[in-house]
Amino acid sequence: MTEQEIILGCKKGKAKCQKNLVLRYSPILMTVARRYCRDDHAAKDVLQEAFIRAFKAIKYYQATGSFTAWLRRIVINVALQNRSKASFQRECNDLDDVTHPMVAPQVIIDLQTEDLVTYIQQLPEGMREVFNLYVIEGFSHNEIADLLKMTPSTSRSYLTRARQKLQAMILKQEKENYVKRVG
Amino acid sequence: MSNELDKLINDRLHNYESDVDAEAIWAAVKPERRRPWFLILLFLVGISILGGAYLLFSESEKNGEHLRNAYLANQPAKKYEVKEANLEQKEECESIHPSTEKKETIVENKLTEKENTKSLTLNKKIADTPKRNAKINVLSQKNNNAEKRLSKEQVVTDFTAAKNSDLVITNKNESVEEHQQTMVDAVVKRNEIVEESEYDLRQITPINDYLPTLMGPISSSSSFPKDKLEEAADQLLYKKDASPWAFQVNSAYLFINRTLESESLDNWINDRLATESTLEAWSSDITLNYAINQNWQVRAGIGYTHINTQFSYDNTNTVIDSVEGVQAIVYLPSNQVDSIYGQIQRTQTIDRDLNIYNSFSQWELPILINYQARLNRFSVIGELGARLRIRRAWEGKLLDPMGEVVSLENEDWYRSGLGISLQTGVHLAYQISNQMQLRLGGGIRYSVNSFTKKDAAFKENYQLQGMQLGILFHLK
Repeated sequence: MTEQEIILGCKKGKAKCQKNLVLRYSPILMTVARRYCRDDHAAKDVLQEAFIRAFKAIKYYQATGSFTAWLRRIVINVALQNRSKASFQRECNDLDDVTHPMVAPQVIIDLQTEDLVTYIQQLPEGMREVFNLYVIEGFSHNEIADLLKMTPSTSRSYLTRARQKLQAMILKQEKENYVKRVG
Repeated sequence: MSNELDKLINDRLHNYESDVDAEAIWAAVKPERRRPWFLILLFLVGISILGGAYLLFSESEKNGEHLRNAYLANQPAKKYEVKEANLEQKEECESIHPSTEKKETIVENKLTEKENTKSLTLNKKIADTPKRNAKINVLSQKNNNAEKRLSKEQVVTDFTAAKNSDLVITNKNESVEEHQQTMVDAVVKRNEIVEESEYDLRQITPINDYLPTLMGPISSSSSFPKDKLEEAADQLLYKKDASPWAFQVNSAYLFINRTLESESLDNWINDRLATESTLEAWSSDITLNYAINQNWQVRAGIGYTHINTQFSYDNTNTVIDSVEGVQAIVYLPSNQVDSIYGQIQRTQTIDRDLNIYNSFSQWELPILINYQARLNRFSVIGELGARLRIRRAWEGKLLDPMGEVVSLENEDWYRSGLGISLQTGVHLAYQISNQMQLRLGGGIRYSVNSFTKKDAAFKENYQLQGMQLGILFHLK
C-alpha cells in the first residue's frame, strides 16, 4: 500500500489504511516521541494520542508537504501539550554543578543512537524540548519562544545548558566505558 | 557543542526508527466501533421521553375529542350564537364607520354569509328543533339583506368618486339607518331564541373551558356533575385500570462521605488523607416497577455508579553524591580525544508533581420498594431498598505504605465481587400524563461493607448522598 493510498483510505476512515499508517510510521514517530518524553512509557502514550489526532485531522491534510513531517508535527504538538494537561504527571530531573567539557565529533559518531536518545530523554524538561526543537526539528529561537511561551533569550540559555549537560552525560558514559575497557 | 555536533546529532536522530510494537500501538488507537454505554443510555432516555410525549399528546387529544363530541351533541345552538354575534359585530362596525373600506366590508359580509351557511348546515345536523332552524334562516336572510344594502352603498361610494357629494350624503344616511334597524332586528331575534330555548344558552361554557377542569379544580360554571368530573380526571391521570408494570430511568448526582482508617499504619493514612480528596459520584438506573396497589410499588433493574476522587502529590527530592567524571579533555595530534577523569560532585534534583483522577465504578442491581402518597398531580414518594453490587472496578494512583506512588490497578486491596449497600430517599413526583411521571428527590446510599478486603491493612468506605431525577413510564 502506497503512502497516497494510506492517506486516501484514512480520509475515508478505512480501518485497514489506518492500521497500515500505524505500522509504517510508528518506528520513526516513536523516536520523535521518545526525544520529547522522559521515558519510553510516556512516549508510547504520546504516540498513541498523536495517532488518534492524526486519524481525526487527516481529512484536513493537504498534500503540499511531506506526510511524515505532518505526522512528526502532530507528535511534537501532543508531546508539548501534554505538559499542561489538567491531569498531569511531571518529573524534572536536574543535573547541577557538572563539568562541561567539549566532546569531539568522533565521540558522537561512535555513540550508539539508542544511547543518544536515552541521554536526550534524561535532559530536564524545558532544555530537552528546546534542544529537540532547535537541533533536530530546525526551529529558530523565536519560533521556539512562541511555541513554549518563553523569551528567545531563555530559549538560547536552555539550548546552551542542554548542550553542556548532554556533553557531560556523554563523557561520563565514555569514562565508564573506558574504565570497563581498561579494567 | 558546535554546530557540527548539532548536525551530527540531527543526522543520527532525524530518521532513526525506534524499536516499537506497532501492533500494540494499533490495538490501542484502533477507532472504537462499539458505542459507549452512556450513549446507549442517552438514546434510551431520549426514546422514552419522545414516547412519553407522544402518549401525552395523543391522550390529551383523545380526551378533548370525547368531550367536544359530548358537548356538541348537547348544545346544538352554540354555533348559531357565535355566527350571529359575528354578524352583529360586522354590522355594528359598518354603522359606526359607514364611509370607510366599503369593499372590504362587503367581502367580509360575504364571508360571514358563507360562515352562516356552514353554521346552518352544522346546526341542521345537530339541532333537534326545526323551529330554531327557521329562526336561523331568518337571520341568514337578514344577513343577505344587509349585504345587498352594502352593495348599494358601494355604488354610492363609487358615485362619490365622481364628486356628486349631495347624493352620496343622502344615500349614506339612508344606509346607516337601515343598518341600525337591521342590528336591532338581529338582537331582538337573538333574544327570542335564547329565551325560547330549552337550554340555558347564557350558561354555556365554551369547550375550551372544560379542558382545564380535567387538570385542576372543577369550574363552578360547569354544568357537569363535579364528582363525576373529579373521578374522570383522576382516572385519566392515574389510569386505575392500567397495567401495574412501569419502567423508570434515574440519574443521580451524589456527594461523597469517605472514611479511611487503619489500626497500625497511621502515618500512611495521614499521608493518604493529605494527598487524596473526594470529588463527586454519579449514578444511573433503569428499573422495572410493579404497582402492588395504589400506594405501594416495588422496582428492580440495573444500575451503574461512578465515584471520583483525586490524588495530588508534589515531591522534590535532592540527591548529592560524588562521582568520577571528566575533569579535562585532551586532544591528541592523531585527531583523537581523551579525557582526564576525577571526582566531581553531582547533584540530582527530582521534582515530581502528580495530579491523578482516581475512580471506582460499580455495576449494581437495585431492588427498592416505594410508598406513594398522592395529592392531585403531585405525589410524595418514600423509597427504601438495597443495591446488590455485582461488579466493581477501580483505577488511579496513590501512595503505598512505603511512600511510593503505586497504581491502583496493580494492587489487590479492594473487593471486586458481590456486595450490598442500602438506599433510602424521598422524592416529589409530578404526574405529567396518565403514563408518565417525573420524580425529583434526595437519597442516601449506605455501603454496609468496607470497600477494602478483609485482609487489607486499611479500611476504606464511601457513603453517598445527593439528588436524584427520574422519569417513570406506565406500560399500557
